[in-house]
Amino acid sequence: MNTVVKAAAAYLIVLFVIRLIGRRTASQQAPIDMVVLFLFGGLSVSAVLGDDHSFTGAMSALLTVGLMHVAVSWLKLRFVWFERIVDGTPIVVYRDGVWDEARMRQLRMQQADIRTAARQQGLDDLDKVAVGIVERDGKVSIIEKA
Amino acid sequence: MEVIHKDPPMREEIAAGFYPAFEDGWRRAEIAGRFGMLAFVALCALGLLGHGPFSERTRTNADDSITIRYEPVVRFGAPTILRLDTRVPPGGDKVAVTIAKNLVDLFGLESITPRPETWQVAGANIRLVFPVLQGETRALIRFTGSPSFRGGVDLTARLDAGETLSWSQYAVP
Repeated sequence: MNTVVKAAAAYLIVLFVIRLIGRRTASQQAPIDMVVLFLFGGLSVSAVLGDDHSFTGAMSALLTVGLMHVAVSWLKLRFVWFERIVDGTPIVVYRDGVWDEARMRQLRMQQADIRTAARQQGLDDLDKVAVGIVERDGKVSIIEKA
Repeated sequence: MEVIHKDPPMREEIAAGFYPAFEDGWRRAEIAGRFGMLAFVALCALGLLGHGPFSERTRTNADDSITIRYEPVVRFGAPTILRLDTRVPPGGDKVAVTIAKNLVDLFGLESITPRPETWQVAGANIRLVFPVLQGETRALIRFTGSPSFRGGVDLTARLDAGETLSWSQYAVP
């Protein structure tokens, strides 16, 4: 399999593995999340380039990944179902004092994550929070009560 | 820029909890994908997709002159070992093994232990002669290589006076 095909396959596999293991890893910078991202990078390089240490090989892989990124971005723009698969959708995990425990378990989020987001927005009480949303990139948005 | 996806107003989206039906479907896909990853990792860990605890098989030819231990599934470019256990002709101090040329070419042969005394081209095959201590009845020969093929390949080995032993190896990318 040549470098171009391997780079394209690696791009898609890494993209979907990151999606499958959950959106937490994509956004958090805790040690366990960084371990995953660093190892993904290192292992992918050796899988794509193998013993090919040439400049041409490395550049062909790099440009392939760049083009794959452009292609995936275009497909996201063109097909809403593809955008949702690649990026997911926002998820409401807290609304008017009620936690959506099932969604939080799925996202491996804790109440502390929502409280942290509320504090970062200058709120000192969850009663002031109307909705807590886990965004597509894994970050938490807080909407205050009117 | 042309708006290709016209999303509903934000308040409506938030009130509806965005797209719970999609997230429910994705959750099922996520679980299926994680089981898929687990299955792949288990296959790799067990050695069913390359080197591992259950990766080796043994095969013997009809006259029991050669027995081979090999990995039916190997990984492209990853080291693998073939062990040939051959019968030594009675009273002989040499054993001659004729191997398929593919073993040198596609198998990416890197070393043979013990080192053969002579290499001879024999048609589409290669004949190797190994020195053996007088009185020995069996000789163990070890081939190491890194497959340079993908897919299946048929390989053979035989002694001068013996049946041909054939086996297949499949290289995964």
